[in-house]
Amino acid sequence: MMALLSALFLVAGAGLCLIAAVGVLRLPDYFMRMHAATKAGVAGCGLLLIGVAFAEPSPGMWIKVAIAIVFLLLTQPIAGHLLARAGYVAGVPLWGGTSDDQLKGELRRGDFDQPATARPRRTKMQKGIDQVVLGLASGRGLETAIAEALELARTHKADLVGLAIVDTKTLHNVGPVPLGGNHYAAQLRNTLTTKARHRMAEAVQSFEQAARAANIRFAVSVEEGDPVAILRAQLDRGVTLVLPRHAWFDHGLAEKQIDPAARLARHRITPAEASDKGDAPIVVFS
Amino acid sequence: MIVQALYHGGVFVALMLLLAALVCAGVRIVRGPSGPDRVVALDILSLLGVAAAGMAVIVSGSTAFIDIALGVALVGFLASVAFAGFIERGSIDEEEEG
Repeated sequence: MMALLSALFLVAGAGLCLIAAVGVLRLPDYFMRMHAATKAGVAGCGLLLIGVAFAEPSPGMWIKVAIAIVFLLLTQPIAGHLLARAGYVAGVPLWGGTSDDQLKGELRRGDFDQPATARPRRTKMQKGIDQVVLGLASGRGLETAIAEALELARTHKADLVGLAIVDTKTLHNVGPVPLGGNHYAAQLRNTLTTKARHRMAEAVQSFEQAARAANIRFAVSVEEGDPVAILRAQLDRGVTLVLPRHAWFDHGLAEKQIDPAARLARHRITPAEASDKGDAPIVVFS
Repeated sequence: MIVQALYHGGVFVALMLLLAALVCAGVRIVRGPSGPDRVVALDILSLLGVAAAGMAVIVSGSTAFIDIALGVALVGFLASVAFAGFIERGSIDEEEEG
């Protein structure tokens, strides 16, 4: 009788473990996998240990099995909770069909740099380039970005647009001002914006010179505002975005140096290849 | 007699199911696609380790293996907690404003 009970519990426990493992293998996103692993895993393990106790019955065995099960029941929910929280905070992508993210706004989500395997191979789509948009931000990496954009425009016979942006969103954020400091803050904003416009004009000039020298037709458009929104509006079918590796549209005037790649990643704009070598420009295929 | 056969068959089936589960978890560890996914696979792998230690009691006949099951459960929990902290801290960059 004991042997039969033991076999029953063993098979049931191992079956639940298998279900949990299949769930971990097959479910579409991280959070679902975690739920399968912890819930079914604990139940399966518990049943299996009960089966073991039936197979080798002794008081000591039963006590140890009871301790193990209680321990699993106490710890696995905590581990699962911690893993889920860590994953959410890290910004692990949710399943595409998720309709309701109840933690939105409750927990901060970080950037999650997807590994190369998960990213679709966008480089293969290069032949569909109709328009090359070059972000003109003065700073390190601008020269190589211009060269890359000219090269792309020439090889794909695409239209070339120089997009110069002044990041007023960042520049207008001058930090807290003391009482009565509003006048000074406004003045500071104005100076910064004027300086940024000058630097932008220099960048535009160097772009125009390079494009003329290469004998490529081009257009220039100038915008002010939130660069990410402007760049996103540009991203259309057949448009390729080329940005300098180290220069952002504050033109080096923001208090802290801004890393363009990190900024884009935060707003879920993924570059084609994340090569960090030197000054190689950031290329975004739409 | 028949009870013995059923018991041994049950043990064999349980071992095979565990093996299949181990293979599934292993495939998930290899496939990723991200670090946290691998950590979850590792979590269930440690649970399967507890189960395997339990099965070892039956297969070997030595009850000492149940202590190993307890130990593996403890280590698995600590590993999960440590990895969770690692994922959470490693992901947020210092720069506050976006």
